[in-house]
Amino acid sequence: MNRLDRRGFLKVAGVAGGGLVLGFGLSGCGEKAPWPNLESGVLQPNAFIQVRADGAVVLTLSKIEMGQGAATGFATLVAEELGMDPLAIEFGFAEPHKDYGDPEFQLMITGGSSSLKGAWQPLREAAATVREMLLQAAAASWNVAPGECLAEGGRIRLRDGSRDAGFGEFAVAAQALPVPASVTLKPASEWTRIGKHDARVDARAKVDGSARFAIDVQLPGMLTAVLLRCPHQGGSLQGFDAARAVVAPGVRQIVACAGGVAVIADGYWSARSAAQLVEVQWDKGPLASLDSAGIAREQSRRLDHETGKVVREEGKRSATAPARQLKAEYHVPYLAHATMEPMNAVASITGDRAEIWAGNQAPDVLQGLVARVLGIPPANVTVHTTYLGGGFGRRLMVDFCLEAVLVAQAAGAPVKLIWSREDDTQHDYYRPSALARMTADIGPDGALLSVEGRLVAPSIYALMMKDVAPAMMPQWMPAGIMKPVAALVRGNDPTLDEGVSGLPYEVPYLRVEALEYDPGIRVGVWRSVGHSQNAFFAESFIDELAHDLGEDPVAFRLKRLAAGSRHARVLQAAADAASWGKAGPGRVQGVALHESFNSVVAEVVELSVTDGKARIERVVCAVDCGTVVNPDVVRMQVESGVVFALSAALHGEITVREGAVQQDNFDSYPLLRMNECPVIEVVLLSSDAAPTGIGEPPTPPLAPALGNALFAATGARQRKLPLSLG
Amino acid sequence: MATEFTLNGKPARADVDPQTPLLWVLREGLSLTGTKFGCGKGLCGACTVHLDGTAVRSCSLPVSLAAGRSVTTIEGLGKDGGLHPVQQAWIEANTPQCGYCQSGQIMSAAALLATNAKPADADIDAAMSGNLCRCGTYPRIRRAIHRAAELMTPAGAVTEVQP
Ligand code: FES
Ligand code: FES
Repeated sequence: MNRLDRRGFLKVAGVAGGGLVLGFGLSGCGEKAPWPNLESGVLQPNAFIQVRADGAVVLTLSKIEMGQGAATGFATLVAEELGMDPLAIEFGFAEPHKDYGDPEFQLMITGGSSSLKGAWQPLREAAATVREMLLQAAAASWNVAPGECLAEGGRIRLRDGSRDAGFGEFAVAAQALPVPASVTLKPASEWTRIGKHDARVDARAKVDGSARFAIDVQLPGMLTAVLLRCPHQGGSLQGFDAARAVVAPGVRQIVACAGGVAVIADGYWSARSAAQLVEVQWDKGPLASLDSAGIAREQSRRLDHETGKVVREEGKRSATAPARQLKAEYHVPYLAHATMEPMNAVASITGDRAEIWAGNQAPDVLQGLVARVLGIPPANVTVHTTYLGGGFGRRLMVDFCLEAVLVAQAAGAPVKLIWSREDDTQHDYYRPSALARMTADIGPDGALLSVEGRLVAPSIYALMMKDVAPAMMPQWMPAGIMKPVAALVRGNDPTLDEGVSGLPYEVPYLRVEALEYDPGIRVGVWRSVGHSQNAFFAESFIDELAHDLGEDPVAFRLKRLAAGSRHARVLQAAADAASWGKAGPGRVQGVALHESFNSVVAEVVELSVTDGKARIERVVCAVDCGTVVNPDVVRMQVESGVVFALSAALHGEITVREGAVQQDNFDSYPLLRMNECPVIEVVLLSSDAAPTGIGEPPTPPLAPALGNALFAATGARQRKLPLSLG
Repeated sequence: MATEFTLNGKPARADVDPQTPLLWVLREGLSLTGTKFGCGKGLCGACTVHLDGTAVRSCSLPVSLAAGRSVTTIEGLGKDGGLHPVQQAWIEANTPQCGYCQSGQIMSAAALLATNAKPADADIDAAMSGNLCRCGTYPRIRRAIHRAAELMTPAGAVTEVQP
């Protein structure tokens, strides 16, 4: 079977780009740094770490920081090898260069919970290289054997403690040395920062207002723009009358641009106020008769009448006829990302060069697409990545950046394009709506004979391929060539079934079938991607099965997991921490277990019920994500994933009418608030394996654990998200 | 028409339409970008500043209503360039993730603590539920507010240690 996993998909993308070669080249030092984001440093044997003459260690982050803690994790890896405080490292975000490509994706994509996993080996090696060069230079200068020196406490020291000096003293001498061909990493037994360091390197800037997001960028002569877009997906601009708006105070220009109408003004308020005076006629386009009820009907019809691709089939169908069948149908709606910072970007175009400032999860994709839009070489496009006010997958798509470029071109001046919250909610790349039918055969003796899942959802990769891949293609190749490539991906997209096809339990016969149905609404990757819905389908149904067979939901699962396996240990840890089966008076619990991005997470949701209304009291999470670099940052990500999932499980629903999204701001698309937030307890399992994902894996198990708890509390099974607390 | 007010202890002047929300005057006119835009409708709290010490949503406050009054933003919260105890507690509790909501959260928390030296969890719920955090830092915010209350207790006063 030629299915594409995430790695495979991105490889295709990379190949389409003429083969971006993964570069961890240890290029020579001393000359002008070949990396665009670096001023010439003194010692810079690789793309990641530079030591300046004043002794400062500067780390260039190949991953963006959207809250997930990559900056702190990377600084910790470097600090460990250099023997210094992670908080003393200066850091900045890489501009596009092949050396910053993700080892798996070969692009500068921050996604797939891959950051630490990818950096784990190369970044420590890069730091150890710098350390070895400094030690050699120090040894030469002090006339001792290199083994007499060590790097600790942010300085180079003689082991006997008789002498020490700052890194800066040896930077010049070190740059003249050859780059060592191989280096030895500190053994785990000597780690003093990995597994221990908790303080975030970005905390200070994020409590005093100085952290710079794209929306904060100001350029001389910059104008501010808003864009009116067709609310109907796939629709287009028919015409507009800006006579009243163009004379409004502060307005510079109103122009058809980027598929909509750009209102360009001195500031946001002038632009937004004037935009309300523009009268626009939209052609509602091909989805004018599409609504949520129709999408749900069509999902059903497809499962009734069509067969999909069998993505997993294991074991043998029982020869004896089942005594009965358990059947359940689950449904999830479209969801928006709703990052706190609405989409925005700043673009400045001068002659055949462009500069762009944006919070984005894919700087080199952005560079390629801007180049294509403007018809200039990618090398002429400078991408400045700022902090992101949230990403969650939304900022992998750079539509808003391309809009800013087009508006700046029309304005003939630098432009900051700011989306309103309404724009942001209505023009997202949504987590798809999906439908699942789950069936289990039960034998005459009450034994579980089979589990079958039939799923219908749109292909996220097909869309991404169409929108993202042109960035990587040579410019003479028309973007339309991506159509057949997208078709290839279609039918091979793991996001349809990941999480159901990965069911970890031993059952005599397992069969998972995925059907693709794309209603035309734009979809994208949303924290945990296909797992976000498929964990709900799988783990709700497993819970139904346990109850149906009269077994305890934890015992039912454990019985079908290999004893001592990662899954079993994580589930047991969550059950223990939550005192499963011994919940306090008036408390009811539900559980779910799920693996995604190579990490395993189990969650127990504990409810209280008063007057028929449930309240979520606490969520206990057990996590195996390999070696933990920053324990508290991992806990933060678990809390974050749980709250994100709670927003979706309790409130999240994007609906469509006439092809237009009906929600617009936080009143119609509510997020979890402080008063609804339960206590969240986190258990980290110890591991000596390399780090695996943490940004996404805590999200998927929450919805099924909550649904399962609600069933335990009320006896009523809810099979549609969002869930009701009664 | 110009509006005059006090901003972080210094006189400030905005020569704009008096209906312009204070948020945009701060961010664009006065280049204080620590105050954030999240929803524009008073629904998220990202734009929270203090008006005469009270937390207000600057996205929904016409600048004219600040005339003659005192506005404090995140940039002016700490005294003499140092950190306010709420900001210190925020760092101690490892609170910020993406950070975008945090100026607003901190301003709401500081206003709460100014009138309630030792807020209970229910007080925190009441004061903080207007501030959204998409990154889910609520448990940390709660902890940080309790910690800030400790830090702000005058030395020598009897304090209970938070569990
Ligand atoms: S921007 Fe003011 S409350 Fe959201
Ligand atoms: S820290 Fe990201 S929205 Fe609160």
